[in-house]
Amino acid sequence: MPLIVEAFAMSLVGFSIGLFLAYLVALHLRANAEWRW
Amino acid sequence: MIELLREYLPAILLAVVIGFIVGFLILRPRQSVRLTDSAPLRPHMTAGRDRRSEANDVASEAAAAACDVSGEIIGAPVHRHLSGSRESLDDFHRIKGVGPKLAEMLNARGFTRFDQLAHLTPEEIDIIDEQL
Repeated sequence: MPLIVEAFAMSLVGFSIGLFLAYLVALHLRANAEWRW
Repeated sequence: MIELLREYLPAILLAVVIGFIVGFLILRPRQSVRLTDSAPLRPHMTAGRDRRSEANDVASEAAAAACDVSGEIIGAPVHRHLSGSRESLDDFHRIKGVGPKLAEMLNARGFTRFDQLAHLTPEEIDIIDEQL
């Protein structure tokens, strides 16, 4: 496997993990902002 | 695979951070505030604006109510002489035999609505007749 493809794939994996984390954080923020009795 | 991860750990961490920042910027909860020139008309703003009502505010409503009650006590038909709060007057010209002059006279005497004319007692009609 060429090195550049390897690096690209790894960074893509990292990027998607970061995106998922951000999604979880946004979900948390929205849930906190919702009014509950 | 573990080897690969270990090898690219700095790059992966950097990508995670960048992905997190980008994702957070895209997904963060935002409040959109729209500014308009006109304030929206809410239900309570129009609740008291009945055009057929006799009063525009609490004071004149109270006055109308007091007239009603006192008129009942002294036996005088007060209510129908209250001038309504209608902005437009009834058009007396539409009555057969009433011209602009007579309509103006009636308006000058405080008649603005058809029902005021309709509820006149014979004595009142006589009085008005004399004045005309």
